[in-house]
Amino acid sequence: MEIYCQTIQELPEVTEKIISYGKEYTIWVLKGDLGAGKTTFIQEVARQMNVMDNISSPSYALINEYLTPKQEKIYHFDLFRVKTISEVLDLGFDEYLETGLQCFIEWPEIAETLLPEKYLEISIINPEEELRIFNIEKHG
Amino acid sequence: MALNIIAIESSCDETSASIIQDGKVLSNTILSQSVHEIYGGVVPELASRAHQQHIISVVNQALKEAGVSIDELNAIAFTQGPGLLGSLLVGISFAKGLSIAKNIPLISVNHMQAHILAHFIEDPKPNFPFLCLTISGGHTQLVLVSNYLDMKILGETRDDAVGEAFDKIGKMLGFPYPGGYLIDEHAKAGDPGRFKFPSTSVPGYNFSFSGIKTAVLYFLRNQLKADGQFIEKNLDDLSASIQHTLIEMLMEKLILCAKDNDIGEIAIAGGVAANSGIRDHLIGLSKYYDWKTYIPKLEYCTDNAAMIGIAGYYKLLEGALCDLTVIPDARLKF
Repeated sequence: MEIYCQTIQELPEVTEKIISYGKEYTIWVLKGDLGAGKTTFIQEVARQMNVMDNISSPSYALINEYLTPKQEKIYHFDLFRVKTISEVLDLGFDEYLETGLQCFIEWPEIAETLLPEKYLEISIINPEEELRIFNIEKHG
Repeated sequence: MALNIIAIESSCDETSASIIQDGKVLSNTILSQSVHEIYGGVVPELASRAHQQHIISVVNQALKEAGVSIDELNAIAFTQGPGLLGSLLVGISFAKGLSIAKNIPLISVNHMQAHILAHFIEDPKPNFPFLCLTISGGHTQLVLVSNYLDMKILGETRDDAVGEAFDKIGKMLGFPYPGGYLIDEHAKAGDPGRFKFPSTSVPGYNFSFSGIKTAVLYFLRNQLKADGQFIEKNLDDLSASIQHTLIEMLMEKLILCAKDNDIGEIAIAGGVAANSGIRDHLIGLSKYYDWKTYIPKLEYCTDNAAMIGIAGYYKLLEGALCDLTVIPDARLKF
């Protein structure tokens, strides 16, 4: 599925469509260059899931945890500064995925071989100014 | 008899141990190549669970440098959070083991509070109440500090931390990651007024650094269309202008918060406090607003166990100990 998001004002509507399309999936990977809007998109997803926590970028912390109103954890990964697969394993990455809880993974490329069969892949392209193109692919 | 506290920090990348005697730092060992040359092995960039391979050698080195034996320890302080769960677990498990083996009390410490209490390692020490701007790769917070253990977060970032903004914009400029410090280096030779970037303002004392990252991205993309060498030709002015914008965004909220709370004791903490532009700017502001400003020594700005030890010392004085049921908390608040 491909969705165009012309301005940030359209993001809530676009996000609603993606949540509905990907509702069977707990593991979402997000691809896109610096500034493509991966964290901003996850902030909007979390807002629509009624997460009360402040959704900040985990680039430094590597993994952020949030709570849903039902007190279920959501894991938010950012593997941007991770260089090797052994570092990914050291983080306990596979164990987080096995919890069955909602996981958002930014910069997933380094950990692709560790992903389960079933996951949602979202690519965000920013060809010009504010325009964002969301490409969503179902795996498994 | 002296009161000796051993402190362990393992919340993110650094494995560190420190010995505090009667509130004075005797040693502050951070895993480095030099520690490894003694004990062997390589220093990983990301510690995570690799902390467990290094913690013993770091602790031994800290004891040795302090000239304190393991039997002379009276208490053990450790980072409970916030941080990476796997990393925190290593420190907390080590602390519990030592607490049982030596029958000494445990003190849990909040990493973000410890960054602030790093100001009490050496003179000059701030007077209560003071405001602390804690800035690092993972955090940006404005904290009202009423006493050692009485702190309130008045504002924080809604998205990226300021250190992350420096590092990611640095990457856009072609610096290696993390390269925020290279922006600071190049800014010294540049004109901070050459390029204008829209700063993002959010309500109250909160911050947002995601918008500036995008603004720089759009600006560079447009300029590169006209001139493929734009970044190389203007690296110093770009660095200076970006750094200026980021500092202004920080200082705007700091000034507002200081005025509203009528506080003239201002401190900065965290790894980004090493930025020379921020230090210079703060010194300038302190003259204008008649503030007393406090900036810790660099080794106490970045993640270190000495700050955990000092925080542990003040908690011990208040009798704030914990028992063996304590667990790490990746989302620990205060």
